[in-house]
Amino acid sequence: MRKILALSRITFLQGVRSRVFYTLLFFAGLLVLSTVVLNQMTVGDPTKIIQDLGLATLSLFSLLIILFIGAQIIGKDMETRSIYLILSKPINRAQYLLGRFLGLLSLLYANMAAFSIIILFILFLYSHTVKWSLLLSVGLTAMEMAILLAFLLFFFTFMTPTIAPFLVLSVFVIGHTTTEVKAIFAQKEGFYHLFSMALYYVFPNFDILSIQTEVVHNVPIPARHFIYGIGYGLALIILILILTHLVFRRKDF
Amino acid sequence: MDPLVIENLAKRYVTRQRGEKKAVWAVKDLTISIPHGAIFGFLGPNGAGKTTTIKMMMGLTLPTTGNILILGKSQTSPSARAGIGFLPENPQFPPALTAQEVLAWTGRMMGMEGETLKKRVDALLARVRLNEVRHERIATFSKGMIQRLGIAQATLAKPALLILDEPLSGLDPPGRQMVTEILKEAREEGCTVFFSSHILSDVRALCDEVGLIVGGHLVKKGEIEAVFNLSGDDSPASLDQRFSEIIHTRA
Amino acid sequence: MKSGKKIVHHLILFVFAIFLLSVAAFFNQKITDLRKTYPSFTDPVFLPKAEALRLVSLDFEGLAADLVWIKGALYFGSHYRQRGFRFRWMEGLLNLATDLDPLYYDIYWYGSSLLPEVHQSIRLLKKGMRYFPDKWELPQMIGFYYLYYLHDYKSAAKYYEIASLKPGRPPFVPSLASRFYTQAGELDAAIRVLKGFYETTHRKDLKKEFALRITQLEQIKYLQALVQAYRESFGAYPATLKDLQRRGLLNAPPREPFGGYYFIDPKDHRVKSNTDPLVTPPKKKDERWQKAN
Repeated sequence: MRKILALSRITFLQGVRSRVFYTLLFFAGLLVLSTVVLNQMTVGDPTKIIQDLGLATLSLFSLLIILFIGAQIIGKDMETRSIYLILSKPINRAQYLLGRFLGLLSLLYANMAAFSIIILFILFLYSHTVKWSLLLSVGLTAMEMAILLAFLLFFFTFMTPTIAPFLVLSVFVIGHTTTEVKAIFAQKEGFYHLFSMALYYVFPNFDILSIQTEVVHNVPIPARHFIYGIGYGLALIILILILTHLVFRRKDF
Repeated sequence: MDPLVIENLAKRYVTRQRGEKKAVWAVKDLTISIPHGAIFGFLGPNGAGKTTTIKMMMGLTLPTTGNILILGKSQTSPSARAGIGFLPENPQFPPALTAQEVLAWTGRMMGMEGETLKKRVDALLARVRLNEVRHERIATFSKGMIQRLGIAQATLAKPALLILDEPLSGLDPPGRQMVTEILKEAREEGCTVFFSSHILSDVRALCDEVGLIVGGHLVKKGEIEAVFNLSGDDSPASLDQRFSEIIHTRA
Repeated sequence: MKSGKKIVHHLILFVFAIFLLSVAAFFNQKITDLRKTYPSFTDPVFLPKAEALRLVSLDFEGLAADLVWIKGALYFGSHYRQRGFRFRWMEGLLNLATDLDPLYYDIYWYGSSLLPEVHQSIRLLKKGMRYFPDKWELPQMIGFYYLYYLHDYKSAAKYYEIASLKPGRPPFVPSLASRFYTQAGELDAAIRVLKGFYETTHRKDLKKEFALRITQLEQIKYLQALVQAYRESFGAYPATLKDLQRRGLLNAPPREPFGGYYFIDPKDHRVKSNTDPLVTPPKKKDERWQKAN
């Protein structure tokens, strides 16, 4: 466990010192601040667009961190000799995977926490209340990002560093559209129906982890939804990491 | 038991060329046993299979056939690596980290901690003359500095076995002398050293025994004078020539 | 001297850089001016279907709705000064936004006033009512639209009545519902609304007033029935209540609870009270004639 934590710690350091990270952070900050300008253009509740755009920015930039920083660190491991200095230590391949996974996850979550605070603060300036329920949405988004991170590790074990991030992006898009696609093709027979069902069951369903709209409209979310979401996410993450390990342990460097 | 025992080691790569499968043996039928406290030089031209062999020893690549026993344990077991200090060829350290952080992390991975770790890191940074730059990011390091850091991290936990791939590459003469001294000191402390090189003059200064690998096969093993038919006054140029001759004969 | 040359060199470079920037700015302005002559595409030329936009928004349909709503507001703002502008895309935009995010109340409420035709506004508000069944404001606004723009008292009354059944509605809502029913000639409905409100309110002052209004309406209903009976018996409508008395259908006109009097409106032959604010009582000269007769 100590070795996993030691590896996750330097993974975090590598990520947080990356120039790409700061660039992403800067643009994300700009986007969140732009909500202050954008809400002048709506009629009615000014906080709606702050919440909508804030949560969308949080998701988008978390995804970009996975795609860029994750790809930078893991990709470098897989393609250059940088992994030699890790795997030559007395750790097994599972410990390597967990160490990298937890390191990137902690980087991701630190980022999400910072953004959540900024969004809550901006909202507070307008509404003079702290909308804690937004954190429920962030929580489930955090689970979604952990799933995508697991996919990143998985794809990197057998794909080139250029292809792997695109595959993760595809999983993101499919995960957010699979429910709609299934509904659209529900009435049709044959190929389209089978295709949409296959997509729905094979790929993760991020729709169930997306409660932005409900939270923004103050629709009460039962605690069960949150618990099921965590359970769903954990199950998928463990599955993907196991599959990753099965491939990774036989990988030649 | 010898600290490093290799038996009938082989590695086959399968490639596809124009739809046809083609098998290439990077290493074939390699058997070596390195006695305790020896400095063993693993020689061969580029592409001979030295790095592949070392990767198999470190568990980075799985052998097709054969066994490797490191300090009595199978090379596939992580605990075998607890007694090894490893330096790959042209080591790639994370550029965003500092020398201090890399060594501290290495120590933690090798089970060291606290004051012991701190003292050891300080001592090694001084030994490899990286003390002044210990808090600088590795991105600013020269090739020689990276190589010295590599030696430091390999010897940090005072391993029983050092496995080094081209440890003297990229170093200027003072650097090479420093590494040579470090390896000799390690041997004096009871460490066994296995290192690969394609520069005969470096090997001659250090090694008790050498093994010559050509085209994946171990073609000769023994004392360097015997293997290369050397006399006392061979210049480095003539050594290289001797080396080339033998390789071409064996290839 | 060498440093002098360097300074000159840098100066020349600097001036050249300014020159290039100016050239760029010049062309920039030229194209901007040219663009003004092209047909405008800032207005939506096509609207995507809600399902398509929902798919593309990757579960951020709330944000997509925001952006469509902003587009709608901008569309309105950039054209509202143009007389006769048809705003043909407005209903589509607002429907799209509310399809994506049906719980976006502001679009129903504010958006309904941005639509060019009152039937579009009513449609949008009705849509909002489906998702906000407890909001009295929406049916009340529909009622207002029917009243003010369409002069449809009956429909206005119907929606004010719906609004009067919603929680938290102010007292003027059922009050107006009954007035509009009365205007539409739907006395039973008017009475029903008032009775319902009488039962549910706890305020004594309102109860008192509504009791009086109920009495008034019942009296009007009674008188109206007599007017109909007169018509059926004698083939023509009575001009005044006195006609009813003369013919023995009525003994004495009932006492108007608010201190006014009842009369028969010659335009629609309906019995009305002069205390009803929606009613225009006959002119003073007619009044005296009425009273005398």
